[in-house]
This record gives sequence, structure tokens and C-alpha cells, in this order.
Amino acid sequence: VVDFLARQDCLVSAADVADGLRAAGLHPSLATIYRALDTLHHFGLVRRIDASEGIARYEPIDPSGAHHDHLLCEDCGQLLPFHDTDLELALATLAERLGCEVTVHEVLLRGRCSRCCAVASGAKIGEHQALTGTDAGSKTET
Amino acid sequence: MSISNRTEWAEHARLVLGQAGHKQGRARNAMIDLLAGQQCALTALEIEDRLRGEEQRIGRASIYRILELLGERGLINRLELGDGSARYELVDPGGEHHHHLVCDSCGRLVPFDDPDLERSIDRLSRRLGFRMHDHEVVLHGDCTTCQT
Repeated sequence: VVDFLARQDCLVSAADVADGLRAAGLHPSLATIYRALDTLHHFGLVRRIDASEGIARYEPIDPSGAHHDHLLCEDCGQLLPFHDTDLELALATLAERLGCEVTVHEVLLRGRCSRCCAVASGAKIGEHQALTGTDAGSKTET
Repeated sequence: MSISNRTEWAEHARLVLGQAGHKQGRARNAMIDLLAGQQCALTALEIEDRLRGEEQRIGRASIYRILELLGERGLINRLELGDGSARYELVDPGGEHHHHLVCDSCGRLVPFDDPDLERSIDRLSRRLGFRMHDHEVVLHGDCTTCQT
């Protein structure tokens, strides 16, 4: 589990860990994987995020302090990592204002990714064209 | 959230559930009143503890069922703050919200809101072409009491 997590750039679920280990010819049970993940979490070695779809995901905590936050697209289910200097600055100023020593922060944005926004607006144009009988090709080019 | 907003939330919650065909029940009413009176998020066990004063005991299964129902209807948010316990808090019908600092020393949950942070998140979301529905910010560290 440790070797698998060390190769990950972003969040993975226990099922993803199981798939990854299976590909490497290992077959630990999900219970064993959860136990290992819990232990790593307990010692502050992995971050655990529940994006509210009932699935906990884990990623390694970089000892250098480098980190990223996440966008969850509720349409395609993809978790996308991001890093934003402006947001980091706002969080540092906030911690100072609260008078708290912040060691870790987690920011999760939920919504629709740019790709799904494009697909949704494309679908809407398509639906509209089907209803009005306009030409699909010429309409999307305008 | 202000007291008037919390009262409004309780009325709104009853109306939404009533319109969805859910009959009013003692347990559900007690939970709506309890959640409406909270300043911040509670775990299911904390809810169970606080409902212990009720004449008839409200079982843990009922509590989870009602939390699920309120969540499905968008009346409460489920928060996972990294300590393995889900917490629940009401969603303000007016869109007002706060975020949380979890004190890793005493476990206390400190609510906060910050307009600069909200503006940063809006800018970021636009920059990424992301259509944001909601967001969560959780800070971990030491609260002011534990630092002294």
C-alpha cells in the first residue's frame, strides 16, 4: 500500500489501491487495505478526503509541505487537483486573523468541470436544433 | 447564521419534507428543532446525546435515516473533517455559510467566515472554467486556547 501510494499524484480510493495491487500480482483483502490506510492516516502520512459521495479517498502527504487542493465534477465524477497562489495567500491571511496555527488545509470545490460545461452547452444547442429543425453543423460554427 | 434564519430553516425544512410527501413525525420534528438551534456541525452521536432528554428515546437508526432524508433534500450538509466522523449542519436557505477549523489538540470545531477567502475561491473557479455549486474549506491546527 505504501509503495502504491508513493506513486500517486492525487487521491485514490481503497478500491483503486486494491486494483493497483492486483495489477502488481498482490491480492490483499479490502479490510487489510483499509487497516493500512487508517494506520497511515493516524500517523499523518496520508490525507483522507470524503467528497460527500460516501467514498473516502487518500493521497500521500508530501513531507516538503507541497500540496494541492481539489475540484470535484459532480457530472463526470472526476477529482481534479489544482494549486492557486492567490487562494494560498488568502488562507494564510485568514489563519493570521483567526490567531490559529494552521498546519494543514483542505479546499474542495464541487460543481461542473469545464469539459462537462462544454458538453452540457453542446447538448443544449443540439436539443434546441432538434426542436427547431436548424442545421447542426452551421449552427455550432456560429 | 442568524436566529431568524435558523427559525426560517426549520419552517422551510418542514415545508420541503411535507411537500415531498413525508409525514411529520416526533423524531423528525425533534431533530429539525435541534439542528435549527445549533451554531455549528454535529456528529450523529452528538445528536443522539442531545436528544436523550426527549420523553421517548430516538434510536440511532432513526437519526441516521432522518439525516439521510434531510441531506437528500439539500436541507443539511454532511461534512467529513478528516477525523473519520461525519458531521451535519443545516444549509441556510439564504445561501449564508461558514467553514471550519478543527483543533487537532482538543478536537474543538471553530466556525469562521471570511469574505476575502470567498472572493479568492470565486476568482479561482472562474479562472479554471469551473461552474461551482458549493465548496468546503477545512483548516487543521491549534485553536487559540490550545496555543496558550
